[in-house]
Amino acid sequence: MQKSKKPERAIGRRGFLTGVATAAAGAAALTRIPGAGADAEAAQRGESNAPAPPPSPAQVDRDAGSVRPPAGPAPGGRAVVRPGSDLMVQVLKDLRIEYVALNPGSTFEGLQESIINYGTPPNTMPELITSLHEESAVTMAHGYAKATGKPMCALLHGTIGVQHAAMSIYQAYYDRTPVLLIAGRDLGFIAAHSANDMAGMVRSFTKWDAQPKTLEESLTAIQRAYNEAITPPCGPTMVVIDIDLQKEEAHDLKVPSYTAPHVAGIDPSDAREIARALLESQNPRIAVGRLRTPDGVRLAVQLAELTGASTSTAATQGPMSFPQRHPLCGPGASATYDYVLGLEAPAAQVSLTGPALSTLLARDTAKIGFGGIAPGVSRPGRGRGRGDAPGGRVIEVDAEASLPVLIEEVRRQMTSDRQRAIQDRAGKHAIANQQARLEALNKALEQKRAGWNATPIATARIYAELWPLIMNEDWILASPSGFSGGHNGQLWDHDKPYSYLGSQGAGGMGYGAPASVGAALAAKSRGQIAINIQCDGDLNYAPGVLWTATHHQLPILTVMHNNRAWHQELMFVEYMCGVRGRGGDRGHIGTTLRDPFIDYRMMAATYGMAGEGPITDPAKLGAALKRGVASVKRGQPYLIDVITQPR
Amino acid sequence: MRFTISFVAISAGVLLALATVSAQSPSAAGAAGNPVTGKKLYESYTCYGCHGFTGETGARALLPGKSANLASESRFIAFLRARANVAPNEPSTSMPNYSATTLTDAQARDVYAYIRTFKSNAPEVDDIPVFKQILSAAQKPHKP
Repeated sequence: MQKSKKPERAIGRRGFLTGVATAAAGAAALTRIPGAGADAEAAQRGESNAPAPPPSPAQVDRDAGSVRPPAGPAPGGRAVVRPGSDLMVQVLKDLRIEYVALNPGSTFEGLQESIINYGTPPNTMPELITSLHEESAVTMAHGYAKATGKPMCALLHGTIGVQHAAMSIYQAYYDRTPVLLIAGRDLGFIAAHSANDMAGMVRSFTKWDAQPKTLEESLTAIQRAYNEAITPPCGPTMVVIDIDLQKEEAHDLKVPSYTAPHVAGIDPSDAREIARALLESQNPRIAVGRLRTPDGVRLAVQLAELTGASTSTAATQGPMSFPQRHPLCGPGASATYDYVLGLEAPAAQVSLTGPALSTLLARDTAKIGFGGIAPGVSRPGRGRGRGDAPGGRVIEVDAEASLPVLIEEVRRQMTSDRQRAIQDRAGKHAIANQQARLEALNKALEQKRAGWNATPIATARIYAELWPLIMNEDWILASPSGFSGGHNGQLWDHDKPYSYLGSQGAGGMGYGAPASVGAALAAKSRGQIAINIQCDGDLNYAPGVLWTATHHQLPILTVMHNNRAWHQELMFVEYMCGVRGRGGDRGHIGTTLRDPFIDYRMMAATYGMAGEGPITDPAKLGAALKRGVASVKRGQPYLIDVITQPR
Repeated sequence: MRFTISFVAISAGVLLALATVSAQSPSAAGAAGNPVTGKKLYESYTCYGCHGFTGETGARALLPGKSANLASESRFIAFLRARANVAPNEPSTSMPNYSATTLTDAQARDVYAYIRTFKSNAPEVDDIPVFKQILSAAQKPHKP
């Protein structure tokens, strides 16, 4: 179907909505189903108050596969020589989108066909990742972005796919993580799978969306969605693309060239002042929270080394922070700091803190923001590292974008005398930080030995046994570790921007496995391995993601923290029983996974994944982990079911 | 009360603990209650959720010397009765209150008797090979 071209207009957040009704009416007129009633026709036109019609005989025939396609225009010819979706895939290629995760749906069949067949070689950059649930697809993209600092794409089926994905979109939004979402729309096929305003279902927790009317607008909308996603505050963005735009003939339409967004950094006068303070103070400190990309981490290291400042890190809480074992990371030779600079972290003197989610509220007061996303909650610095007292001046500017000018200023103001003093100070910090690290480690080991031989197996033993097996590998701990004791924080060294990807974002369950699969997608093409310490309750939301890991041969080791319950909730309910003075022996109802127990080795086997367990004898754990790491290093995912203590 | 679990059936360690408990029945040293009954109560009241199945793990271990509330049976029971009985606005993982209607004095004595059977089975740090590996690696210079 060739759509008439309209004059090009600027793409705004909701800019494509205007005129959709007209286009929808046109589409409906061309795809009217014979025999359908007035309500059905109204629904086909996209009128929101019309009930969804039952499937028509023609639709049933099509679903059954008994409808033959129309004859081609000429023998050996094709109806469409240069489909619009090929150009959309070219845009994704230009953006260096590595993967597109999807669960198949008829509203994007054109785009799916282009992903797998367009380009040389086809199905590469982006590669199609088969997902068994849209929630998993988006969480994969969430995990991938936290591991790499850049978006991947999730392709969502109209309405139902978007709704399946909604929780994970919300979670990525809350986690300020860039994800590129494309939703298909088909006004002429199944009314229940189309909507006048597809993105409206998730608008209150997406950063930007568009529903373009033409192929040309679709291409620029994808580019803009990418740019909006990676511009702080980062977040998921959505482009809704009609099926007819995917299938239309592009003729000689050119793919627009891509221009990366400009992220504003610190004002030069502020940079001069901060650089002077860092150089003139006797014991400066840099508190590093969560930066945006690995480049930001590299620049933070550069600034610390230039100034000889001791640093704090958020690397044990999440990605993109200062390397934990860098000689400058730790309390330093003296904890009396006369100047503290925060990079996406609170600080006593000055903190550079990128715009919070709440800043989006001003753009669209009526439609942006959901639940707890409100100005009072998203105060600067919240949840972005810790360790240094807040209270100083907060400059609302992206820290990562500010680092180049800060570094330049420090270099400009550097003198040879200062350089000597800085080298001397850095040497003292290195000795003190190493000593502090060893003291903390010794203290941690004394604590972690508790329950070493216990059955069920202590969670600390999992982390302790695993660490020597991976410490010389390039690893990503992709799953949240809080529910399994967070022992990595004390035992492991988080030295890479992606060492630990942190918590779910909004506390939503069903996150660990798909986020780890997303991280494993990043790991596969970078020679890394992904570790997933997997809570049992969390896996059961959408366990089909294990199949995705196997199907795509991802280097991911899953170790089950199988305590056979949702123990956080068990404790909550037990407390309530106590408050109300009744049923303290009934708190397990609705909070435990027993009668029957779930066999995760068998679950993995069902999805084709190698594995072993359940392991109950702590003496057998180490060997099992060794087999698991060996398997993953060969590129074969592996699951070990470990019966564990509750925490 | 139905409690069909479990971990006991698969746990050599806990079987050993049961044998120890049986040998000490009807009461553990310093406790008047029955530790065998106490073990059942410890599990059915899901005390393990915070204190671990062996009293060694979790944030609130129950090993001897870990808490003054375990110093004596009377102190333990007083502690159970004195916990907060007002629902906080936010969910709490704090120790629940156990009134006498929820857990009788006799039952509380049994739980106490069982808790008193807990003892550390953990090796010293120097005797755990992976700990040595971890320490050794930490002593090496940082490799960027």
